[in-house]
Amino acid sequence: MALTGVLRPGHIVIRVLEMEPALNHYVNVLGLIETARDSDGKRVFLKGWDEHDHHSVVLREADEAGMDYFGWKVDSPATLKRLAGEISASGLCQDLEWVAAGDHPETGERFRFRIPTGHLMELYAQKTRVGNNCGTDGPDINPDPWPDGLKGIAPSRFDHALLYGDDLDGTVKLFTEVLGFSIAERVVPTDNPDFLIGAFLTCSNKAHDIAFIRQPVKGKLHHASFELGSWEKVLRAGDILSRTKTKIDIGPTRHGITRGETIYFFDPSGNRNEVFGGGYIYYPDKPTITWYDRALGPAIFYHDRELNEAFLTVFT
Amino acid sequence: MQWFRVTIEETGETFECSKDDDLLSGMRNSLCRKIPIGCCNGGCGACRISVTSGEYRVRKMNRAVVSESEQASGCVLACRVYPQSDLQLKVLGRKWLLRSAASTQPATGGVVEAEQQQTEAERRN
Ligand code: FES
Ligand SMILES: [Fe+2]
Repeated sequence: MALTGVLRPGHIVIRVLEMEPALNHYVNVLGLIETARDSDGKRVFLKGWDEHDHHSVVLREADEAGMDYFGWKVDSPATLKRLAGEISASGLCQDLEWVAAGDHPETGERFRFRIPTGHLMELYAQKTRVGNNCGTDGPDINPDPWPDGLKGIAPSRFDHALLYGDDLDGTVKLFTEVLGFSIAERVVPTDNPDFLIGAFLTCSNKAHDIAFIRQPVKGKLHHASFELGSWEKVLRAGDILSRTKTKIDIGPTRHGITRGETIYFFDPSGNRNEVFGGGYIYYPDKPTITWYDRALGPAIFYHDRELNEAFLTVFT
Repeated sequence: MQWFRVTIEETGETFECSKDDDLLSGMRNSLCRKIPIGCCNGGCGACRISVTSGEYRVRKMNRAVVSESEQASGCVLACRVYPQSDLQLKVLGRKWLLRSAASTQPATGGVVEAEQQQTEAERRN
């Protein structure tokens, strides 16, 4: 297996103010599929249609919006133990703890840690496979390209998040030196190329699995993003968002960074979502792309060539 | 449908808002743009206002941007306030002012404190 260690984003836990409108948004408008909920209804577990594991998005009802934590799937229990040890030894993280198997339904034990930008992250190795419902003669046998009964925008998967935090250097050190990520793209000042303003990190063949922008805050969520196959589907997403009177932040447009085609919008608690298509394949020998801060406009919104005010100031 | 008149104290600008619409939607449906527009869903704090007179109903707001005591003193998010009478308000704006762009200057001590805007509501507390 060539792709080892941390495999991919596994789950994101998003805090919502009111569960009912949140569920309408994430199930009927965005088009995720509910797979479980707590008996008291405080957490609901969802997945994109092409994800095989039990859940990738968890909504938790709370008094504050934002992100509780982000979980990464690793290739094996042995890797989970090894990385837990290496994270502890690095001294870069705080609030280290093991979360017992079963705290998330159908999920094994998780190792949790707070990274230097203030976000809680987790690693886990096991989650029950429930399949993508495409097989015509049993799971994954002679599959159709997509299943029946999809609702709304219907992205294939939870793909990545962009997070805001202060100690970007510490977080990037952790992800690159301990967790095995590469920097696919970075934003730096023209006159100080060693100072990171933004880092787009990948653990896979994707242009990014997570991204961070330096801001004087701790643990903030800029957006949670979901994958669509094409530009046409991004345009269709825009139509669905308008029809359902969902607040669109910007788009459909294109990011310079990652070249993705995108639309940003808000869930009913003000958490920003993205659906996107396109981008490129990342291999470990691909050179890191650098953007100068003066080009931050086209780096983020390639057509407008300037940031909207909300990009830097609206987050949860 | 019942409509109410909303007046922004600083400028005297007014707009109409129905009792079933939140104040930010009411403003967005008018030509007024005085209250900053963010997520429109009670999360980001861009639309913070202080209601100085009138009756209103609120929906749940992100506690990270409006505390209980602020809310008790009339500081609310326009996107979560539904008018029940004519209203007068002051615009507060977001609580946290970030540096104008992701700063190009290295942070000296690692952590850079966000400037906190002192709001009307906080001054009263
Ligand atoms: S616009 Fe974000 S809280 Fe009202
Ligand atoms: Fe994104």
